[in-house]
Amino acid sequence: MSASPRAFEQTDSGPQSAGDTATFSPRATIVATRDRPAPWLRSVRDKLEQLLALPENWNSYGARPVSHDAAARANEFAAYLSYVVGVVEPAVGATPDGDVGFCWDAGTWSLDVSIDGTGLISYVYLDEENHGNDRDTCTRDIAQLIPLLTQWSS
Amino acid sequence: MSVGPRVGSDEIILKRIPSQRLGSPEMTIARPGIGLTATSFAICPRRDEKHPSWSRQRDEASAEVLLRVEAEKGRDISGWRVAAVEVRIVRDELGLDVVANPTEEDPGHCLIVPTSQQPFTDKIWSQLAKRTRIIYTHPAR
Repeated sequence: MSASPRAFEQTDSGPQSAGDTATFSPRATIVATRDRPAPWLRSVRDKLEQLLALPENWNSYGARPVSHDAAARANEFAAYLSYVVGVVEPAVGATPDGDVGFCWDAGTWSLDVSIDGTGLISYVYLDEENHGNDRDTCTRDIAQLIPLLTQWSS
Repeated sequence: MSVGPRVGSDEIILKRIPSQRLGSPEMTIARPGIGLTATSFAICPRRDEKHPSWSRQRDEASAEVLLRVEAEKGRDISGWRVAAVEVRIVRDELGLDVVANPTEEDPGHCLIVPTSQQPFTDKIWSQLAKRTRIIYTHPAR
């Protein structure tokens, strides 16, 4: 079962092609999307399900159980990213506050994302080649992470 | 909670990391060019927690002892890991500080504390996580 990625060039005026939903970026960014979710989505969903079984103090330092709302928002987040070509499977963890955490590390960059029950996405992006690109911020717009995860920005 | 004297920069501090067995959260990550480290979520404090707890490494057995404390409370420590970082890195590279805070349960207990130069931020935990290394994994059953 092969994916049929489509390429969209997006400018400030919006996507150039009609059809599948494209992500928006303040700069021109090439984003390729899949017809079907990446195979890793199933693994991530299984892990998210398992996070819900974590008890109080699961980390031995007073961590709270993962909230169902956080797991649900994280599921939506993962599903969205699974349609973007170039996004690889993250490490799936939990934060001491009961939010869901996703981690990617490609060597030259790393991205740590936590998602709470309201859908707020807090993320830290570290660019090991240029720390001027580092980010520590939060958003409700998943699309902001696409250029970071695909490194295809022009 | 009163904080004690600064821990020496030549010391190493340790943190328990939950097991990465099936069904457990992934709290370590293999980083290209670095190796296996903790994730930021494994070492950051709760939002309502003033200072995250660590333990001073006294000897080579310290890592296992740190886990056995939990085993004695009934926790299954199979596969649990211990992350380590040098106090020098915490202090000189990241601008945080480490102070002693011994407890009855853990005489080596210490705290990472913010400084006037470096407050606690999500970014600092991501940076610290990259500098940890996994030094011990308890055998799985």
